[in-house]
Amino acid sequence: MSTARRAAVNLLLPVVYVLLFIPAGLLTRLFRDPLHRKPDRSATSYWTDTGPTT
Amino acid sequence: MPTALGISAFYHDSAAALVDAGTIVAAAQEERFSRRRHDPAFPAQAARYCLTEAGTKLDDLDRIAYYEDPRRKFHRVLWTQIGTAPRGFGTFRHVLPEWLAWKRRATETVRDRLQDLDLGTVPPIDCYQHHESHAASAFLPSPYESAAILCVDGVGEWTTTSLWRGTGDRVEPVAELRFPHSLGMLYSAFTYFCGFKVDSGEYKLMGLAPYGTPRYAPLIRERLVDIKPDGSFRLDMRYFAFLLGRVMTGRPFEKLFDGPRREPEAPLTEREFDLAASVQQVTEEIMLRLARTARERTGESRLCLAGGVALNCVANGRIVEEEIFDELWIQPAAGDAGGALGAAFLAARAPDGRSHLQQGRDAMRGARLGPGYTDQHIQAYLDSHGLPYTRLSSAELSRQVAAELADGKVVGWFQDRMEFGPRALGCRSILGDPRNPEMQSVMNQKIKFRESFRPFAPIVLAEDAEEYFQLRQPSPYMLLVAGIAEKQRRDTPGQQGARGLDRLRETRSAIPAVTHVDHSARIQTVDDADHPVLHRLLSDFKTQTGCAVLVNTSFNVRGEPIVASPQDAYRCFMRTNIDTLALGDFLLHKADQPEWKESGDWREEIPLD
Repeated sequence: MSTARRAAVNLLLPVVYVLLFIPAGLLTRLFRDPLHRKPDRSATSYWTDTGPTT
Repeated sequence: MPTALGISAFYHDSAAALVDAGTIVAAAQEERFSRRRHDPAFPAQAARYCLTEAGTKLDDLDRIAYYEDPRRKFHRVLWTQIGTAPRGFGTFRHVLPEWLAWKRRATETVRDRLQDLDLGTVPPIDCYQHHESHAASAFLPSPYESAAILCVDGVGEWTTTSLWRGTGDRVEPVAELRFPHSLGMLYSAFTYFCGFKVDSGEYKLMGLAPYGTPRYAPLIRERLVDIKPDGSFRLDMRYFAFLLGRVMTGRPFEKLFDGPRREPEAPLTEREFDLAASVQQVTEEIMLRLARTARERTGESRLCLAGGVALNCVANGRIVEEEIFDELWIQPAAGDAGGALGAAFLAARAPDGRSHLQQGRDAMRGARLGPGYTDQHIQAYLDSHGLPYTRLSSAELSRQVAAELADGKVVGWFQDRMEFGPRALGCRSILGDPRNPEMQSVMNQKIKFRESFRPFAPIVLAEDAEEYFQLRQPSPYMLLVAGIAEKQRRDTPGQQGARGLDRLRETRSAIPAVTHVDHSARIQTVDDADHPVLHRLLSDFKTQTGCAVLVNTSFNVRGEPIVASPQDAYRCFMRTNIDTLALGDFLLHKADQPEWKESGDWREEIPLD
């Protein structure tokens, strides 16, 4: 990456983060945490079935 | 007949593997050529080696098989950033530019780099899922017609743990757990917290565990990981930092475990021993539950394992001990390097099934899948450098080396093709006499220049394994830990009650150099068919001493990749206190060698592992 391009990327990154990622993150987490960061002690299993559905 | 070159790259331990209609022609990790441990770079030299070994060019291949799906992985990276915003800018600004620039199109980079080899036109590239590659590497070369498959690692695309069923030449998914809930990450977090390097120091943590008591295990279960009866689990991410930055743990973790992490190379304390024992206990508990679920959900009586956590040979030993399955087979290159092999297997299945099953063996040929050197090549190297040697017949060399081992000498053993996977299995090994109580500290400190607590592994004649170890099945790839047989145990009176590293001074068995503080050993059983040269050496040692066991450690010093070529082996021989070097049929003694001169201190050039 050229120095000029790197500088442009470094300037753009915070902008993209603030304008896109933060709102998207806050909005998503209003409904559900995409990373399920807290355990669900009441669940019986965390497996996701991946086999063919019968 | 379909032929494919498998590639794993750009994260950790890059590798290439060439499979021709279900038969492995060659497989090697890039680190052995580049001499950079766990090299993540594109495996150009490994790929070139595989093609040379096969005597083929890229045009002759049907497929290139890439071990994971970069687009799905990018999807996970984006969701992680969204999920952690606004707290994850630290990783965002490091990670996103390289993903946007090339990583999300990694297969194009693979194509370009292969083209750069100038070995013909690159065939079409197929991507497989990371865990699909692991599952294929675990099952397709295994000796089983059908089996349950369990893959457990850090993370691939989204999957961190997966359960499959293998039948014939197929692997079919059953269930999975997803990022960030990862047993590999949990173990790595403790590796980091105890001051070791992530993705390489996990082995040290496992070796440290028997020195401690698992007093933190209840806390880990209560606060860090919720484990369900079926082995599925979820981490409480409030205690981990790997989503937010380049470290594994932060303040909440420190609060839970009595203060900040141990700094690398700082003295080890009781806390680290106990943390290691605790996370090891929890890991074993999860692995046992996962194995039981694998049995219940597939109905299979045999289990195949892969993924980095499958290198936890203590947990593997527990699965065998608990008799959850009739038999266990573990891919020797269980980590990401093995993904190259799995992907190649998926792309180059034989139309008439897995032919190795007819011989009742696995397809790994003792993992001897890397470069080998002829006696002519070795002699040319020795002669051109004026290095003194004695040339013997293979049988004479074996008897002579056995005699020197019995005499207390440490021998560098360079024979046959190099092993594929992280372990030296008797082709690029340093060997010693396990009966010698001083051998562990001599080999750790004067040969390997590494920590004194680290145990050494035994190799044993397969037919005599029961005589020495409580092992229920063969362990050809040093991936099972089992107890030393009762009759070999020799508890020295008056030494009980020692704690921590003081326990190193206890003598625990007739083979003390390979007996860990809990009377366990990480065993490699050697049979004549897979390893004729090593089998002969062990037989000669047994004839001369009555002992069918040798100490086997990888031919390298701490932080360096295992030696690949005769040049690497000679350099390591001269830098360390190895007494004798057996290079093919050539025997070299340290005392006869010209003085070894190097500019600067070579130990400063090798980064600590």
